[in-house]
Amino acid sequence: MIEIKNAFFSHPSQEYLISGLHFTLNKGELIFITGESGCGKSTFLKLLNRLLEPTSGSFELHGQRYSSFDTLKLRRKIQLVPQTPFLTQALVIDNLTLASKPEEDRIEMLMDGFNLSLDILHKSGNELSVGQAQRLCVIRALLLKPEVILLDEPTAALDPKNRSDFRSSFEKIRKDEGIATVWVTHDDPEGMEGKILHMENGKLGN
Amino acid sequence: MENLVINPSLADLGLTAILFGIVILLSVREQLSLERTFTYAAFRAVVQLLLVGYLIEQVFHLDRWYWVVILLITMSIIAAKAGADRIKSKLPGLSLLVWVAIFAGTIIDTFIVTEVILKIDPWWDPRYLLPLAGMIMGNALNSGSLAGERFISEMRNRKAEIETMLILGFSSARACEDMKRVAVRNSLIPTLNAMFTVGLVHLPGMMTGQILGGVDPIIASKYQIIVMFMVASTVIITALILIKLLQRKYFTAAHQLRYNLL
Repeated sequence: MIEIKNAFFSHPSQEYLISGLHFTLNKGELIFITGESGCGKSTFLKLLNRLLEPTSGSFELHGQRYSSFDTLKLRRKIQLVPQTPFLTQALVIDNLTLASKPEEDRIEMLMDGFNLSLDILHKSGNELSVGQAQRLCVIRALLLKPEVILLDEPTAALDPKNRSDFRSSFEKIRKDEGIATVWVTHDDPEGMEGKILHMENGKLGN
Repeated sequence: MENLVINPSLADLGLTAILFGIVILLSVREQLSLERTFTYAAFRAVVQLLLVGYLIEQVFHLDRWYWVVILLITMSIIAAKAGADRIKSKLPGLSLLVWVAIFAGTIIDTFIVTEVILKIDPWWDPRYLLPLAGMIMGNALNSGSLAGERFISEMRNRKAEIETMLILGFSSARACEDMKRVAVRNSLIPTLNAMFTVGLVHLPGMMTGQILGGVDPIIASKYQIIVMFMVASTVIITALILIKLLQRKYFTAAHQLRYNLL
């Protein structure tokens, strides 16, 4: 469903961070991306979500160029969850429903799926631990019912127990809803099915 | 009461040296180290005021609309430079954006005041147009620099929030709506504070000037009311135009943040 050919990206007056990258993501597929810090993994996710514009290269969703979509609608279809979770000081429930009007059942199902108590829905967004905020940001993205979800180190702030819980919770929802996923991680994604690609010199390889 | 205006002679003006001397003396006595800066500022202010007085007199004398317009455009360029200099950010092209905002804000307000309210004739009568447009521009300058400075610092400090809003599919205008609100309110605070105390704690400069110039205090207060609303609307128009221009600078048409500008 997503097809990228020969993508290049550089910030003005800097060297290419992404250089000659090719990438394909199929419906419902899970792809892990590993690589050293600063190698361009987060930049790649921002390009996928069109938060950044590539210097050159072809980006297509369902065979149509990114530029032929309304950017704001495209971003809702391809949801990015950044590495640093951001919630406003408003109530958690208001943070979750900022961009969507989901049914209550769905919120409850997702909260339960990620081991979060319903009580925190009425807490302020800045009273939470980083781990809770990170999971809530994933839920907020899932409430938009995206076709693709891009996760930037979603378990970085979690301890091993919570990390493993997060993986199994996410895996269940991902499979149930058939969401294609690109997951940037530092950890070994051992035990989870999915393709692993390594990023080096601005390219992706096995 | 006769309208007798005391016209200070150059010798009288020279006596302000007493007041100048007081500042220098106190600065030395209290070790404030302000002597050099104050002397320079005083020298500049005196030269600028004498020069502008002379220029305006020449424009009165030449009596042509284009000289009035040239003088106003020159003033707006100087105001834009001063406004941009007060904003700490070194955003490329900032002076031009500030100039557009100040110029547009000034034109809109000057037109309303001189053509709709006062109906001056001819439209360029320098006796009215220059002081009023000058006052409007001064306020536009303050407003532009306050709003611009605050908006830019909000954009820098709230990058994660803006990014989140964009990711969730909100437009760039919506993503920085709160930053805009904070910046515009910030630029309007001095005007609001002044409106609460005007006449009670201080007499505004123009009203004081008119009374000293022999104008009936009732007429002076009517003018001051016009000026007060003129200032408030200039502040808000200039701030909003500048922020709109800054938004266009910070985002691409595809609602992408230009990270290199933050």
